[in-house]
Amino acid sequence: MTTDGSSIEITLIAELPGHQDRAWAIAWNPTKPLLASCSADKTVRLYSYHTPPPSDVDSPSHGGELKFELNASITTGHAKTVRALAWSPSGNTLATGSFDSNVGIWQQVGEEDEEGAWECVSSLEGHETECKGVAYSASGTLLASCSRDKSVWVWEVLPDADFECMGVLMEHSQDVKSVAWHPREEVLASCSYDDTIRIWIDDPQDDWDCVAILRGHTSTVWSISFSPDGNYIASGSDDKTVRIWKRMDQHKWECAQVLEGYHDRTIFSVAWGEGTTGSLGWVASASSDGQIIVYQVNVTEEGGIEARLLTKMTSAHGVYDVNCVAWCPGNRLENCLASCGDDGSVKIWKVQVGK
Amino acid sequence: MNEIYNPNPKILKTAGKRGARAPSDLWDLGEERTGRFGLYDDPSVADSIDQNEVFDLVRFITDPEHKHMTLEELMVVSAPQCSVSNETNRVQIEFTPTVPHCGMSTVIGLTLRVRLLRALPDRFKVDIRVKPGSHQSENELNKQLNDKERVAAALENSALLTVLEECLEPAQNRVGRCTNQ
Repeated sequence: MTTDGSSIEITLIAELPGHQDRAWAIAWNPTKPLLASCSADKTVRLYSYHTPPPSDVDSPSHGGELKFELNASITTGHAKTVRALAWSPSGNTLATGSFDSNVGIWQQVGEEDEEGAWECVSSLEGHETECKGVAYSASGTLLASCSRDKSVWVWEVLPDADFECMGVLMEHSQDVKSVAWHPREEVLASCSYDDTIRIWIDDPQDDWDCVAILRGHTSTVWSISFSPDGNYIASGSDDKTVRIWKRMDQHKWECAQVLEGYHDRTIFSVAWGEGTTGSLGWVASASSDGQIIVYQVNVTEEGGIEARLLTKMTSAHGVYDVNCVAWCPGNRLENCLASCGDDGSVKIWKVQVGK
Repeated sequence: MNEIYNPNPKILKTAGKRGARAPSDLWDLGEERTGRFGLYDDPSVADSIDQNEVFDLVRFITDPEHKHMTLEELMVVSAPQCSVSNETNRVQIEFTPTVPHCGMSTVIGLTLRVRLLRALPDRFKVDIRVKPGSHQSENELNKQLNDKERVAAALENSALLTVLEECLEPAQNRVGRCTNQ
């Protein structure tokens, strides 16, 4: 409930089927109205979206709702499942991470005025086993990837789709499930089957260094997401809890809150967005229990933090696991959330005051 | 893979009829089901299931090491070790590795996973565990077998898949439900 007593609801505004097998992840392009999804069917699907003008007689009664259409289906050429994907901050490059252990780099190749086809301009090899996550740093000069081989690789992004490996970080004791960068600094977080989250920075003297280990989860940590202000991290785990970690000092993080009792199966994804209420925004979590849950996060009077349930959707993808959630970065679209699941579909939701 | 872990397994004499084919059964698909995008999307198909039906699906899977013995005969699976909740749509299977350090346990666990993935309606979430106290690396095994991503990646390994298919074939070619009449 909001302070005026109205209730916040999560409603479906679009359903985008099409993948022939489970959809593992989605990513919103940061600068263009494009949404990408990747799947065990080894393809990446791109959807364009727009807001129909108010005079559009075909738009539904609650008009002005985003409209999506398929823009492209990329047969990636990855030999196995495409597990993860990430857009560069410029929005011009897409990175894919596959169970075939490689990272694919994709750009539109074509004449200036035309929209070219998406082509693989580079393939980053190095991981020994499945790649499970990819992420660009805020500046776009670094790309991180992670794998079941327990390592995190940091690549420098060079001109002409060239990449140079800057570091192979081998301190997790098990698979690394995902990586995420701080929204402004070159601070990297990774989460693992070893139940921990690690924070890494590039030490000028010493190469990439692990500066903090966040312990607390009692099983695999599947996903991490930095808050928009960069002072907090949300994590989701197989232990069915979401944890909020607060940055106490430059390299010191502590668990500020444990959100438990909301999900009753593995949480596969968390995403922290600006939201439209709460001083610290909204955290969304997605789980094998079929729920998408949104929590509102506030700073308390004592300077602490409080996350509380805002709204939730059960059976978001029917009986199927929800694998990923991501908030739309678009202007005035902070309450728009994408999800994807084992049913192979991508769904778009709006979080807003109910009617 | 060449080392035999358990040269002298204990064997159960089973009461189940072997080779008898019952009339066509919704459970017996023989090959990759049309679950997610087909048959089982229809809610009128296969309502509630019980532990015996789950057991029937897995009892004839063969052991990767002793290829002519079924998991039932080796007492790896049994009906009481299968549990079903139709209200919460959960299936839990507990299995007993043949010896406490059994290296084949991951493979056996995977055959159970694949069999149920292919044969149960999509609404069921499946948890697979080793019988508590029955294996040295119980927690590690359970964690691996219940990590969806690990399982998915394992199934994209063609060498491993070949081993699994060999173990699964006897169960898939056999009737899912045994009618002792």
